[in-house]
Amino acid sequence: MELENENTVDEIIESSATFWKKDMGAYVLRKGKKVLRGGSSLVDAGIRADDVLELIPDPEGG
Amino acid sequence: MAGLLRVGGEDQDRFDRSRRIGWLDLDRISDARVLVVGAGAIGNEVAKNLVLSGFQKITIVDMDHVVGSNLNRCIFFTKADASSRALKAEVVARGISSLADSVDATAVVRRIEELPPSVFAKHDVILGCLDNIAARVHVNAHSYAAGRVFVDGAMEGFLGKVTVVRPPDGACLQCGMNKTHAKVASLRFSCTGKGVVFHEPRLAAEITTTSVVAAVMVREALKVVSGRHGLLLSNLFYYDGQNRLFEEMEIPLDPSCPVHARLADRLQVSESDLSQWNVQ
Repeated sequence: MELENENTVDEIIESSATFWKKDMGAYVLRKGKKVLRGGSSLVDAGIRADDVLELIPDPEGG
Repeated sequence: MAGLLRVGGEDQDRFDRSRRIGWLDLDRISDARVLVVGAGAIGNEVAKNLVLSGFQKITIVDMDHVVGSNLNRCIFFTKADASSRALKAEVVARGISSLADSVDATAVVRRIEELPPSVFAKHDVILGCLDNIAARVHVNAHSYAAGRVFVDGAMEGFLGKVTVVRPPDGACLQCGMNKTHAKVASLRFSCTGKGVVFHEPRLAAEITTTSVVAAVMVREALKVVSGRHGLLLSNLFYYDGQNRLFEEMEIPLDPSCPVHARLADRLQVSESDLSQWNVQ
């Protein structure tokens, strides 16, 4: 993905879930072992070029 | 003088094998009050594990009734329960009572949102076995405000997760939520003009993931009650059974999340804080 410093984690989640046609549901973005805050910008979250971010589903059922 | 030595006597002690785990505090476990919120698939497994682990005082909250499609993953539900539309909380309470005479199980046939907030402080640990985000947000906020550890389980298909929320310093469930959670929560409700209808989507569910999630949840509860907080998950266990993955992740504390923002002001979590998540 091409991203700007001011892009937020929420925006990345929404864009990537749409692009990859993910099922409707809750998702989180992780960098390594850490779950990233939705409202954080890339700068706030300490994301740098070539970092690998992973979109993972957040299951809801019980 | 010590009591009489009986050859094979240890085999008559129900918890002999548990006692061999040095840090398990079986006295505190049997005395602890546990609140199980939700008596569906995870709730069945959690309740069973609690009793077999030595917990005795268990409150089970659920307003729903048994249906046939529950039977692929719920140990205590039967075809007869589905036919008679038996209430899940009552069936689970009866089921765990049959596992040990000492069990003191209370079934509460209500939505958790209908119970007074004091119910959280009256229990030592809260186990969330819920099937929707809005109820999780409610239990998360009230457990945190009551200073009780909240262990939340969730699953869908072969995906599962367990989150451990430890007030007063730990991250909470909402610290790890974002706009997709709010969107899903809002889609669960629709206004018909006569009131608000709650929509429950039919999610993929099966027993092996349920068992893994419930096992981790009860193991964390054992640590909480035994005073072994240093052994607790910190703070998220993520499981992908299809792809053979399980790992510990971290939800960092978010001071701006609704729960922590309120606590920072030293105010109780109010109903208006929860309204943005459609929580009553």
